[in-house]
Amino acid sequence: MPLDRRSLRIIAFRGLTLTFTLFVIVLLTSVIMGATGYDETVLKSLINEEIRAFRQELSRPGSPYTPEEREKLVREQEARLRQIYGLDKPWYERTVSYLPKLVTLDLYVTSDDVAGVLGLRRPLKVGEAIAVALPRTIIMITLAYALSALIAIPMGPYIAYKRGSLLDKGVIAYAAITNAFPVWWLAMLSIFFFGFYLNVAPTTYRPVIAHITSLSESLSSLDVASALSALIRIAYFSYVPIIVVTFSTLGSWLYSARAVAIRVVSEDYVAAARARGLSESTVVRRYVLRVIAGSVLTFIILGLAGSISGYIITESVFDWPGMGLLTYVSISVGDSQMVLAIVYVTTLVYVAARFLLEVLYVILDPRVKL
Amino acid sequence: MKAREEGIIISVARSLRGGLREVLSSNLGKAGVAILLFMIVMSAYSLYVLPSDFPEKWKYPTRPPWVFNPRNAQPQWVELFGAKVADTAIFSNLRADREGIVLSPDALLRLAPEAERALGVGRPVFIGYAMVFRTSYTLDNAAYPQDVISLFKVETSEKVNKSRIGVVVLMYITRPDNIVLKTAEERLTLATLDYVKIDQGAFASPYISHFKLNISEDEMRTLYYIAVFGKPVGKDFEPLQGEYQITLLLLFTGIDPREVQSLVRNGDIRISAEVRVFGTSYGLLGTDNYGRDLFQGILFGFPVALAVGFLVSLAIVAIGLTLGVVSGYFGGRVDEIIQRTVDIIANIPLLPLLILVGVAIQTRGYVGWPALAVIMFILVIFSWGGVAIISRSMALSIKSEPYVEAAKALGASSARIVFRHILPQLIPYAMAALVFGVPGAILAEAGLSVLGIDHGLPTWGRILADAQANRGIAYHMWWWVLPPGILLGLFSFAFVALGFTLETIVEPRLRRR
Repeated sequence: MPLDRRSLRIIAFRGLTLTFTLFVIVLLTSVIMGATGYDETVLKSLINEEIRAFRQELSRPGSPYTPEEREKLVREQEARLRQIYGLDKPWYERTVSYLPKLVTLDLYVTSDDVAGVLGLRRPLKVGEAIAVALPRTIIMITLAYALSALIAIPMGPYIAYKRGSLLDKGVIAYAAITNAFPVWWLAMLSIFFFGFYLNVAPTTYRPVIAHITSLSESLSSLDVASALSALIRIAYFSYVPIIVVTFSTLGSWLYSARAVAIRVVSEDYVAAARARGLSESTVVRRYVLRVIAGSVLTFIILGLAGSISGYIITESVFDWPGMGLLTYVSISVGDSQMVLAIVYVTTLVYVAARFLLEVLYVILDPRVKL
Repeated sequence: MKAREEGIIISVARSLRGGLREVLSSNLGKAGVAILLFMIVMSAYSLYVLPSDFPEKWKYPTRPPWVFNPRNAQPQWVELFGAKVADTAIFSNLRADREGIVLSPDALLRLAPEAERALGVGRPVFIGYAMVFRTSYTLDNAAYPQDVISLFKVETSEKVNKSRIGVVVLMYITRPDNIVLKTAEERLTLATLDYVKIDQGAFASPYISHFKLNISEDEMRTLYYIAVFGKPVGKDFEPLQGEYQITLLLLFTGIDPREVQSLVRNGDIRISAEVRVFGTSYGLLGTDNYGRDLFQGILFGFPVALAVGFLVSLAIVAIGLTLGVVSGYFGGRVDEIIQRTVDIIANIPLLPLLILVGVAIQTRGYVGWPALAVIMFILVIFSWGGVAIISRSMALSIKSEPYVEAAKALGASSARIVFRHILPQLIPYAMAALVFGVPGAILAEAGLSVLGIDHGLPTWGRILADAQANRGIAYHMWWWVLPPGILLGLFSFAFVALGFTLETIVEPRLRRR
């Protein structure tokens, strides 16, 4: 379908506002880290630690330095470190200097704890860190999202038809319950129940790193047998988290699918189609699913795009080393470059998904205007 | 068009009444109302029962009163379901059942015969003033209590110099099999007379030799509670059920015995004792790994959850409604600015931001209510977007209704149109949004707590966070993990359920035909 100039203008305008949004969010994050003095506190303690180690090194027995020389060296080292970490500049210069490098992810992980979550060592680029954490979140959260969507979307119209029935009431109650009970608490319960009580699942999930590594190694060396065994072990580690997240997200998926379908199901043309004696499944396929496809697509695309930032609390409870845990650890140890990179990448993906949707709307629906 | 002529207050009242009717017509709504009522009653009870310094007490788990509770204890009622637990028993306000000046060792033994019968202890040599406190504890189940602790309350008049009067405290436990153990001996003064616990080494060696056990003294020390409350069976131990006599013997030194006696008899020195047998069960909801009473902690969570949830939701709706109506009614540049702001905050990853702010305020040293207030503030600042979008679109459509145009033509001011015509019609929606917004705040607070962002107040999330931090032990203690989570879920469920039923008011098309 050819795009006229007006549509192009709309799309360009949308793109601009979304880019602006992304910029503001990243800026806001860096301002919060800088202005609260939070990253400064963290950097200072980092420098103090290094200085202490340096001083200890210098004052070992047999060192050739006099106490005065030692003090001088320590002071020089401190000044050097302050420069490296940017503490010689005010916070806004320091944090703003990260922003241009952010676009190409040319930043480094500053904390060993963050590298430790991933099972890697420093020096480590933030891009590599995200590249390692992302697949781990995808095999847990995104997979669970996709499962929920697959179950919910075909069911939505049927539930909408049977409005007021036991099935409908059950779905609403289920949605209310899964909405109310936090998924991380279900995660705690599942560790309690499957891990400690039934003993059929791990009680700590961090070791999944080793199996994912061995899977990617055996895949690259085309070793099918060991890839398969690694896959089985990954499944052993991931089935409980996947079940928990699916169980919890399915409620709102079903509810949304139902809500979207209800508006269509009560339309006159659907009633007319049913009155014509068409079978339920034909009506659903031809007159309902086709109409709600747009809304459903929105749900799916935004849901999947949002899922890659991981579930921070749930991943922390499971100790699942994905994007969520990476986010949490980076924030809590004050690795501001990593935090910025995560906020940038996850927001970028989300904003890109929204842009994609805007473009699709404009192309598919000529009525859309500014 | 009478409804539109009403003021906001009447409109609120009407939609409240209408909402209540709608809510009570469905089972989900009834459940929501019942839970909400329960929460309100519990909150009132909590405010009435708990002291105002409760958060402060909770924050220091290694201080009294928690050190005087058994650790990791199950709820007491599990006994009804056949669980083998040892009761926690508290015998408070014990008065000396015998006292007197002891002039010979034999006299002491007449006061407290346990002193001689204790395993491996010769008769104590003591001349002076002595007091004896006694109580008995019955162990009904095959379970070991954890410890026995004796607390003393000393009240004196100005005449008494407390640090000048020395006290030797001896604790004896007479078992159902008539074996007596000397479980503690401490030299204190009246000023330091506070509490005495079982001394793990006091009876290890005589116990081993009495039962001819093949066990090292160190091992016996770690098994002290088994030694006190168990009998050896082959290589193993079994809990010894029956009645235990606990005797506290106070011997006063460093002062003329007649002087102490007259001080005690004249009421210048008043000593009362409290004996606590630490069982494996305690109270309504058991204790955590520090002995903190989980029921009290959970009780404190009720008013906090209600207050945090409602305040945050109210603020979100108020801001969203105001900006939405302003945006929709006035349009133009104001509308553009508000819309772009909504665009930005709708895309902001809220949780990372909250964590960031939470960690930042933590490194800044904020704790308690101020820390919680900052978290609530951030929640409000970044959550009003959704309400604003919907209020805006509703305001837009109401603005173009003929009667509003007519009012304008008649010269009505903007304020009059907004307050008389637009806001009253938005009230039902605002109510529903208010109800829907409540759980978000409290779940966010709980989630942040679990991540270790410590505002220092005992909330349900905080209790779960403690469980998560001690996962090794806590995951064997359902009474620690289940109740706070269930309450958290119930609380949110009540509002989600109410919100679902109110939805038909907001979206009349959903009303069943």
